[in-house]
Amino acid sequence: MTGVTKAIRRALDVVSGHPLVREIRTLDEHGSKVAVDFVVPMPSRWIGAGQSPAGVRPVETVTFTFDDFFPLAVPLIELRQDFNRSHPHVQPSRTEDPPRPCYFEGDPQDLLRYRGMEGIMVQVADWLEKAAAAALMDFSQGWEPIRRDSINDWVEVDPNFVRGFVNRDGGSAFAVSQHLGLELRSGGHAYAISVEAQRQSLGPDFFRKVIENAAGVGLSVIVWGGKTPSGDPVVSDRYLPETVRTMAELTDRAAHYGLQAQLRAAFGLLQTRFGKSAYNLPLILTLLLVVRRPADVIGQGSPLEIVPYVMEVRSASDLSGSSEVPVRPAAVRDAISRKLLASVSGSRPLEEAQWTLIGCGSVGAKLAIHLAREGRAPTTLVDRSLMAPHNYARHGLVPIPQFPVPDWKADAVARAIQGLGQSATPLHEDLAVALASSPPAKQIWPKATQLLVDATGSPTVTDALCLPQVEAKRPRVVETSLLGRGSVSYMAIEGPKANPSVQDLQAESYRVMADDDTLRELALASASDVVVVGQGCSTRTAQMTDARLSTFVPGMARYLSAALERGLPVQEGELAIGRVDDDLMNQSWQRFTVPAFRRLRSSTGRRASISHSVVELIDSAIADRPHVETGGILIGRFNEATDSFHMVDIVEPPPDSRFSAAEFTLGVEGIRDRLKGYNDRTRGTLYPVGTWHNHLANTPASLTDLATAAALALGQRFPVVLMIRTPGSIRGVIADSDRSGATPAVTIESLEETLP
Amino acid sequence: MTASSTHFKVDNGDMHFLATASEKTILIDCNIRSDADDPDGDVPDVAQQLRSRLKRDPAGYLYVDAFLLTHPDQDHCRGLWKHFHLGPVSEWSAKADKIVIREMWSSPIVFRRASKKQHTLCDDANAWATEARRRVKRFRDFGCLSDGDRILILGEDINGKTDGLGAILVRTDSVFQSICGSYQIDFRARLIAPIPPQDDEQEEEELSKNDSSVVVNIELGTFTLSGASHYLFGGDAEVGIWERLWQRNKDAPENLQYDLLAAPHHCSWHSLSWDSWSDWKELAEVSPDARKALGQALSGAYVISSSKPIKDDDVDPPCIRAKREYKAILSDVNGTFECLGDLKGDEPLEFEVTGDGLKIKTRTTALAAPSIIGGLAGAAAGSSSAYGAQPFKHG
Repeated sequence: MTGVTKAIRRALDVVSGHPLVREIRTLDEHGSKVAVDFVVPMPSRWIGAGQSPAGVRPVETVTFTFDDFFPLAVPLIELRQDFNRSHPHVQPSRTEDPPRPCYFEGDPQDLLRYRGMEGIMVQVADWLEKAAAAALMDFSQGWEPIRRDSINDWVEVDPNFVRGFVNRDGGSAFAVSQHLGLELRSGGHAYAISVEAQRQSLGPDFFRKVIENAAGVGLSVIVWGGKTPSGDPVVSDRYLPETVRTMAELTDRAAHYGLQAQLRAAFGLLQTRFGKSAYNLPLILTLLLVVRRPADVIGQGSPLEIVPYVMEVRSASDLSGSSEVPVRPAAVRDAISRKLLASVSGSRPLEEAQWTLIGCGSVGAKLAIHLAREGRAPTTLVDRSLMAPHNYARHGLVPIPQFPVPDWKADAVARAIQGLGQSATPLHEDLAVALASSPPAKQIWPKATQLLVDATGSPTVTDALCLPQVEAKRPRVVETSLLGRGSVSYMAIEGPKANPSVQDLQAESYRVMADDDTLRELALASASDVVVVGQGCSTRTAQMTDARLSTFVPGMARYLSAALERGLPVQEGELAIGRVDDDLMNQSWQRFTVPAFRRLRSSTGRRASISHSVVELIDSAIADRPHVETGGILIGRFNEATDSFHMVDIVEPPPDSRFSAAEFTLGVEGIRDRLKGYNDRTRGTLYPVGTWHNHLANTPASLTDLATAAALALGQRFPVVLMIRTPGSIRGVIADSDRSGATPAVTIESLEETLP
Repeated sequence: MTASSTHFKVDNGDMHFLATASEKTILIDCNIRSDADDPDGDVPDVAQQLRSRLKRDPAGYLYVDAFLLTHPDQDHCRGLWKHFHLGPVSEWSAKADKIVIREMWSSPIVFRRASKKQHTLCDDANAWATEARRRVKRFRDFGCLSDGDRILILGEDINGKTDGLGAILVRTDSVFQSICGSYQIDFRARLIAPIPPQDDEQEEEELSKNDSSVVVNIELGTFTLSGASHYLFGGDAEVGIWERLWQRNKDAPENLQYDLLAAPHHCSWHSLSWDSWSDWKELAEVSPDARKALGQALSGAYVISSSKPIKDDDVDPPCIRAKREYKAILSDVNGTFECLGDLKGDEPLEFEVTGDGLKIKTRTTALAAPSIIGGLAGAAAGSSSAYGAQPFKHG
């Protein structure tokens, strides 16, 4: 220490200016170490008694030591030597060192950055006031675990694994652990230890087989208590400061916790396994004492507090009661788990969330990882392809050196999810084939699956999901994909009972995007790129950076997360279409509610669905011409794979059409240009699929209607719909021509509405 | 809610505010000087400080549940007419927005004829007396009262003036536990004075307004009265009264025990001694009985002097000798003496009621000074800036 800097002088001004500071005295020649007398607000009768029941005095002297690194580093803040250490917010320390208050939950350096010396003073004063009242700690808040923030050794472990051992009889168990040695700036070393969540039996050859053959592998011992003579579990309801440093102190502490016999037994077995061997390199032994508290440990949802220590053991004698081997308290961190991730994310843990991700490519893997990091990972993964080197340009995972590149995408994502403390079943099915087979592959949506997410960007998958036998049985689908080389994003959320279906939504989205000048150019006009990925190999993809591809995924992930928690829209489907500027710094989404389509079905199961807005347009056209029949042209898509029509728009009848009470005759004037114009504007995505007209009474298709349908069918290469709106129904016919024989044939099937 | 007490800085005068755990509010005296509500004036804006602690009735008016006037001296009721609604609640005006007193706790002295010796009343005291008489008449007419008309008469008066008041009369040495007609589980008060009238009317005539002061020992609990804290308020009662109170209570000294004593008559020597401080100086003798009456301090108790700063001079009140005497009383119990006039800033002194006595609330006024002088300091200093000078970042 070279002396008091200006920053320290200013800090000392703040210290002495605090309203609860009564006096400040310099303790060293530089003036960088000071004793500060804090008035501790406490009830008058405690002041009268000279101290609070917890032993805090009405005026407490706290030592502040500033070093040369201030204000980058915080001053060292210490309490008087005999301050009651059995307080949960006292940092663990050796008994010969003055106790230190744990005055900030977080990094005190950040507190200094954000709130300055005033912030530190407020926290210390507040700490003292709370410490004075500590005896009155309210267990309804839970048991405050022993603070272990400043400890260098730390143990990462799944608390549920450790607590899972606890039974009425008490006992001990072993697990393998892995560690990394850490050099400390202050000299010495410490370990970062990870305990495997798997019980290890300690057979005679355990040391030879496990420990001696792997560097960085150690052992952990879990010790838990039993019951009192009266049969109640042993409860430790008194705070003891964390001062254990030696085997003797550890033994005392274990006795205090009611774990002495169990600890001794575990050490006894370990001593037997050591036998007469002595090792140069120590066995890194992690002790996990499981202590039962009178109330749930805060933030843990369990009264079992895990109290960890680390020892370096070279021989059996190091574990004897008289051993001189140091025992170091360790900090404990929860291993990655769904609950931990949910907590850090600020999300509610959803143990029951179940969803299937179809497509573990770039978008799919990123979605899976986003949701998994929130504790809501997919439970089933479907992808038929292997990770190829070019995938890593944008995939959610990075290559792991130990794993050679050839790897199933589904397996790779499943492993990542496992690493995040959750589990997913990978399937390598060709989804289209699996779904088309009879019966469809049920393993794709195990019971209780809430939704299927199609992140394949594959139209084949969309169609396979909408095969009649599949659509009727599967959970609702959410499709997520990118369009226009990553400049537009697309989410289609099916309605209940897949109405509207992803196919319906696809047709509707084309109508929406064609109506928007920007989207039309960006999304509907773009083609894919062919990228050379090897000698003689290429892949069809859209060229874009990982950053661009990633832009929209968080919004999609957020939608899915909310859907898992609160369910999908109750009555309708939804389209969400996003776009982003080229610099990726301006993103916007539009959301469209899409009501259920009206659905018609023929006797052979052919299907036609009509959007709600088309029905409204038709009814409005009918209302405009009362007492006569009217009609027009239906716009939409026909899907060969699912043999279904999806109608999302109408074109008004040409001016030469004739409207009478007996019949409607569609005109022809200008119709070709108008339909071509429509088709061009939608970049070929939407086209005429038939006609509609109304009947003034609830009558089926007339002979004229049938003849018209046949004529229309003969004029095109896919079936045609002739839809009839009557006052009480929507019905119609599908006409299909067959030109394979000598004479063209037309089959006509009637369509009737299927009511939900 | 935590029961609390607030002791406003009103120089030589009294103004104390109690809030019970069940959120009943009691004001004990007021001394709102004319420039106290002038934001530019030097006097703390105690009217605003009080108003900020009050709740509004659904009908829109701010209210105190009870207003105890210890005695009708100017420095105990100044500002009453200006800041409190007097008259039926139906006449309350939103524009004036005065504070409604749901229940008056009044000394009976207000019924005395103004012609009696020393009993001339200031305007505010007359306003109090008029309102008290209105309420008593209403009680006599209707036999019951509602909020805004309620009154309790603390102590019997001479010549049968308080006869027939029944339910609204609190007799000296009795305990009452109701506020606005409802029984409280976290509040209790013992009426210790005024001492009931004696046969010797001459003596009564000699009693000054000060000596007709109400003396109450109020208990506030955290939930029930178990472990409750005691507040002893004695208005301006002087040594003769304290001597008689000791004689009346010496077999039950707990009636006088306190966690907080508002030193009578702004820390006047005349509450502890018959000898004039300016005449006798250090030769002045303490009355043993008065000291005992005022000496029942519980462990860690506070004595507060609601007065100007106490200087080492001839002034009385507040008197340096009285302060020394109280500090001597407190030294036996590790207690604390606080003079409101000595506190920096305008904020009142506040206490929280705990199950183990009173806990002083940290006064924040002193903190404001060193932090930021103009926005630049906050931005430039970085490490010594106020909260919020740097938004929380995450990387």
